[in-house]
Amino acid sequence: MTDTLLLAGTRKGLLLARRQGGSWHTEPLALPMTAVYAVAIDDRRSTPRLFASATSEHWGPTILHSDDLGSTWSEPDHAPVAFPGDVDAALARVWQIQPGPAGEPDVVYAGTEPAALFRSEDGGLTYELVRPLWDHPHRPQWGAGFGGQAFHTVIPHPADPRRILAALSSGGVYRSYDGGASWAPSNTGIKATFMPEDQRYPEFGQCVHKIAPDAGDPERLYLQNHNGVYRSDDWGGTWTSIAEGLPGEFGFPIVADPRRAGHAYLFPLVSDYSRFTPDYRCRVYGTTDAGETWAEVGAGLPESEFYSLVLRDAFTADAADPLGLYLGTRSGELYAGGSDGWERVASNLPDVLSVRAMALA
Amino acid sequence: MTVTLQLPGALAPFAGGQREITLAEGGDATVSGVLDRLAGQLPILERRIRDERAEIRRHVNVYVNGVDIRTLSGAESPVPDGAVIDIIAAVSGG
Repeated sequence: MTDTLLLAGTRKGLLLARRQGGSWHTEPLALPMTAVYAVAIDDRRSTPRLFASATSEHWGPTILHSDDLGSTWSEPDHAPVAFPGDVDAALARVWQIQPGPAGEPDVVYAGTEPAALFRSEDGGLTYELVRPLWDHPHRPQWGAGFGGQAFHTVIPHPADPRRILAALSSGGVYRSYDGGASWAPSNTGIKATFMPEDQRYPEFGQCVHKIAPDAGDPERLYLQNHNGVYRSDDWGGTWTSIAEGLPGEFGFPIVADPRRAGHAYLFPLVSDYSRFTPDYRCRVYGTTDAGETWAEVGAGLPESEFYSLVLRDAFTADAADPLGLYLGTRSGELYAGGSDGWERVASNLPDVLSVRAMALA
Repeated sequence: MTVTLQLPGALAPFAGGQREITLAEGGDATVSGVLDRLAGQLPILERRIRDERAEIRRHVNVYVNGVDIRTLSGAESPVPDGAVIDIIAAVSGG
């Protein structure tokens, strides 16, 4: 079985777990008393750089990084992410840390609250506000979900560094074809069920929960919406429902297999007014045909009386063969598994907010 | 004039392990001015007390010689020579 490094950001710190020789070992909670909404693994370096966004309710937000696979964490003296002086805003939280494309090894993006996109060109140590998106005329009309205003998705195009797709809750999907110099909404086909019946397909304002890129086709994306699951085959130009066959259209995360085209996974909930798993069974659903059909994935997750859920960034996939999936729950359990079954890695954690994993050589 | 900054244990790692910092100030010092000076010397500490707009974080309490600056003039409260400024985590926020 593949050795694995697993990062789990929780509401009160960061848990590292390692699978070696088929057994999981967890380390004492790092970054205690901080909410770790985003973790990331930048494997474009010879030694992967790990990131964690840590927000103390008292002492504010920051981003830390580790160049020794989590043994030590450090941060620059200056604030890694901060709104510039001429902008009347203060960073509340970093929701997303996303390494850039392979061709730009020092580019890292950060999505924040208040909703904004930041870009680093020094490997994720210092970030600058992407002003054209901050200055977009739609921004004052963007809203906030129950968890806050989450700029949660940044997808650099793998082949064209000028193309960046981003999404926030609520506001919807935006994309740039010029390296972030200009942005346009791309929500055609995505329903906003929280709007009046005749206004449910607005240009923007949708509550998109998460987007994942397909492994084989750079134009193909999968999207978990606030009610609705969609696919785009034209890099967000249009979206088509792929929810048929799922036991619920609501949910938060969506994950694509990083190596196999057409393979994607999600964690269905009944609906926005019943945020529980169907029949209170903890279940991952997956597709191997780009959302044409769905099926339960593996055994070993709680079969009954499961009243928890998985948040938007608390579900991930590694690039191993066979594929490893990893999820953390709001009730503090961490699971690893896939089609061959699931095992519990940790329990009694604070709410799990973010999970990322990497297969170790 | 000098001012002594007293820190909670949670912030000591950002001050070289110290719980107390002495800062040299010019005349007519204010809390804001003291924190500006701190930003120049220990930005990793100062940014935990104030945000990038130089506003004291919501769940941080600041006392000058035992008086909550919210009952004085906030960040513009005067800081006399020899003053002790306490930085304390509020009961809220955790």
